[in-house]
Amino acid sequence: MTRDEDALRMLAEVEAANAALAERAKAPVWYHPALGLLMGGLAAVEAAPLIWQYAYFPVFGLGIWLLVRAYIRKTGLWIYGFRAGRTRIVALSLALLCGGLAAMSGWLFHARRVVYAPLLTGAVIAVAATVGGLLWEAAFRADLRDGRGL
Amino acid sequence: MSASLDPVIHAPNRLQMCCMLAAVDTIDFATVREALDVSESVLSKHVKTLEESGYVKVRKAASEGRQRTWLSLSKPGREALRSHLAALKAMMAGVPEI
Repeated sequence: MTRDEDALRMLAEVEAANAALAERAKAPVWYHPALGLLMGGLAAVEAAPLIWQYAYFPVFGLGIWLLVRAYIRKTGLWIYGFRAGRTRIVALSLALLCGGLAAMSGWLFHARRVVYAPLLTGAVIAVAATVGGLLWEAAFRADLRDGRGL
Repeated sequence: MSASLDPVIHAPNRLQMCCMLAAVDTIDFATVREALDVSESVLSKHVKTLEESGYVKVRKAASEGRQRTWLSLSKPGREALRSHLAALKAMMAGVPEI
């Protein structure tokens, strides 16, 4: 095999690897909405009595564990959300957005007595996390195409 | 210092495998085998070579009543892959476009 043929062969392998991953790294259709609901619940539960807030944490933990298990079972792989590349930008932006919304909600609820703030924030975070998850998957596919995040 | 092709990664299927591992945190042996469309014994040989070179970490874990093998790229493996891809890009710079 000539040097050029060797290079082309290797390039084809890299493209095949990226295509295989892009095809496999797809969460179940209900995954991102479920994650969104879990995260939204974390904000919304602030309006509930303290006992319910404490009770929600293990529910949240169990929910995350089940989601991770379902993803791994379907795809046979796991990807760190904050991996380098466009995916890190999406993950950090989503974390900052949800964290900021939750903090604002807490302030509105406790300092300003806006009783509906946690529920409204929970709903916004649920939608943002769902959309953010889909954007993350798109960013991952874009990273694979460009070879970013290696 | 110019990048050079890594003889361990250079072999057919190993480059593809390393690229897949580089993009994820961990991946199931069976998933890699399906993606590469090779037999278990062929993939096992590749994994063993990469593991002995320190490029791949292998972890076995029980899951739903069966043993599963999980693969991940090590830090030296990632660096070796980056260097290999840089060398590949340099080679491609000399290949005319069709």
